[in-house]
Parts: sequence; structure tokens; C-alpha cells
Amino acid sequence: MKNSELDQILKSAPVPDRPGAYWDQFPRRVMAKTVRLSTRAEAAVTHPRTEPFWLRSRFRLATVGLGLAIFGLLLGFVLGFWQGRNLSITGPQLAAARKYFQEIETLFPGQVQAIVFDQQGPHLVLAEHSNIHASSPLYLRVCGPKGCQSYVTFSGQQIRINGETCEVLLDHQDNVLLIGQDWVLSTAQAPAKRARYQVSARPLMTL
Amino acid sequence: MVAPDDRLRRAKCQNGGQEAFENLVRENQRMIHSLCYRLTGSMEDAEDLAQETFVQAFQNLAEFRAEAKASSWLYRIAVNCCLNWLKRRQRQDQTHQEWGRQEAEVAHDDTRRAQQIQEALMKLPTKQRAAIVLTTYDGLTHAEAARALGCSETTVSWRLFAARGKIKRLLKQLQKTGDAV
Repeated sequence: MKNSELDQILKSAPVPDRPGAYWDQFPRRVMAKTVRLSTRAEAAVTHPRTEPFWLRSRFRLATVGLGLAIFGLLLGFVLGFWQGRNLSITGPQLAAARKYFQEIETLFPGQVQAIVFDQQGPHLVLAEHSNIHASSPLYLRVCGPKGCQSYVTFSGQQIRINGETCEVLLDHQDNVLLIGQDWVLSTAQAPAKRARYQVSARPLMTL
Repeated sequence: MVAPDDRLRRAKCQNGGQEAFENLVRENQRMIHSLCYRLTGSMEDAEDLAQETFVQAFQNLAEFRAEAKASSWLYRIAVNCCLNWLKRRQRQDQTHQEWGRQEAEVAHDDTRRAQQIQEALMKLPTKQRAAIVLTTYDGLTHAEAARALGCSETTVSWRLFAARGKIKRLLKQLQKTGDAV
């Protein structure tokens, strides 16, 4: 095929036509758009935008995103701080628990397995015989999804946290281990983010 | 009768005289629409691009050199707009199919053939297509096409050579399959 033949074939394909009204309207549409654009440009010059840049539409999404990120960070910080505060053992708490333990101990010498402090108040867990005291008493504070509970107990005893039974053990470095059915918590390590519980512990008899 | 170039100069002298520019649009609108359609294969995109071409021309009247030809200047703006159109290409397929459906209902051989030729053109790389459209359809010389495309005449010649070869192969394939061309 020669180039001239090809050109003929190409030229034989017309551009789809538009109705006459379209061609009448088109120049007006162009002019209307140019007027609109120049009006907008003039307005920008004569009335410069006074709102801060972060409120302008192109920045609004970024501003909202940044705001949410900051809010998330603050929330995380506040929750972490609140949880940490809940978990921390204060001197008055320890003193009150010690006083309570000493009173109970005089009533049931060597029988106290655990004293549980929860929202309903203190509960006693007593052994039938007075053979418990192989180690010094510990004060534990355990926080979970249902709130925080405090315990006075001993290494080797079992306590119940939210219905789950776990064993309390003291290692050779005086770190407390809580051993549940399928989990272990230690005061020596920072709890994992998804840990079921968080625990802090102190010996009851020292301030 | 006022020549289009004079009209553009008048529009420029009058600091954007709207009436003169509107007349210029009226005189060049079909040419720019055709160019945009040939380059995009889409009626809707051609409409948007033609409008964009004239708006850009109006906004850049100050850049128009008095010795230049108005149509060449408009060509250059339109070609640039269309080359940038690639970014918005996804709309093209849909529109092209719609047009195809409309035309299929009419079922004229001529329109079928026109559609096939346009489809063959659309299979060319954009710059080769632009070279074919400017020279074959719009009758620009290689030098004028080179100015509109912002490249050398040799490049235009090479693109035309490559484009013609491809189009011939495509049309032959269509003939073999017994289609209209």
C-alpha cells in the first residue's frame, strides 16, 4: 500500500459530528469559563484568603489526619499513664494492706493463703491448717480488662484473677511470677502489648 | 473579513477583548475538536481538551508572538493538552465503547469503517499518532508539525514512517479478517 493510498483511507474516516447547537454554545462556554477563572483570580488578588492555610481545602484532609494522629498519640499516652498509675503500688496502699494482714494473721496465725482486695472489699482465703508461712508476704497488684485487684499472698500460693487460677512464685532475684493455664507474667519484664494482665509486686513488710 | 491572526492580535491588544477571542474560538473550534478527537479517540475527552486548549490560549495571550500563526499556536497548545491527556486515559475506553454501541445501532458501513480506522490510530503510540494527525488530517508540513510537537523535523519524519508502517499492518489485518476497511 502506498502512502497516498493510506492517507486516502485515513481521511475517509470522518470525525463524528456534533449537533449545530453544540458549535453555537461552545465558544460561549469557553468564554464563560475564562470569565469564571479570571473572576476567581481577581478575587484571590483583591480578597486574599484570610483563613489559616491548614483550613484550606487542599490541606484540610492532611490537617484532619494530623489531628487524628495527635489525638491517638495523646489518648495512648493518657491511657498508658492511667494504666501505669493504676498498676503502681503506693505507700498508703501498702501500709493499709500490711495493717490488715497483721490483724488477720493474729486471728488466723499461719492460715492466710491470700487476702484479695477488689471492688467489693477484702476477701480472705484461708488454709485449713497453719502451715503456710514458708516465705515472707507479697503485695501484688494485677490489672486486667475488668479492672484492678490487689492481693496479699505468699510464693507458692494460688490466687484467682477474674475467675482464672494462677500460681504465685518468687524467683531467686525476688521477681514475682504469675503462672496461669496458658500464660506467664513476670514483674521482671515489661508486659507485652497484648498481655491479658499487667502485674506489679512488692514485699509487704518493707516500705 | 478579518483574518484569524489579526483577530488574535486584536484580542491581545485589547487586553483580552472577549468578542474577538470568541470569534477566534468559533473559527478554530472544529479544527481543534477534530485534532483532539483524533488524538484521544474520545468525543467527551476531545470536548474537554478543546475547551482547555482555548482557555489556556486566552490565559496565555500575552505569550502569543505577533509574527506567529494563530492556528499553529493553538495547535501547539492543543497537542500539549492531548499529550497530557494520557494521564486521564481510563475514561477513553468507556466512552469509546459507548460511541461504538451507538454507531452499531445505526450499522452504517461508513461509520464502522471510520471507527475501525480510529481504533487503528489509537493503537499507535501517542507521539506517532500526533504526527499522523497533524500531517495527514490537518495538512501541516513537517516543519509546522515539528513546531507544534516541540521536536525536530527529522523526529517527525521518523515518527510518520513508523506510524505508517504500523497502520498499514493493522489495516491489512482488518482486511484479512473480512472487516469493512
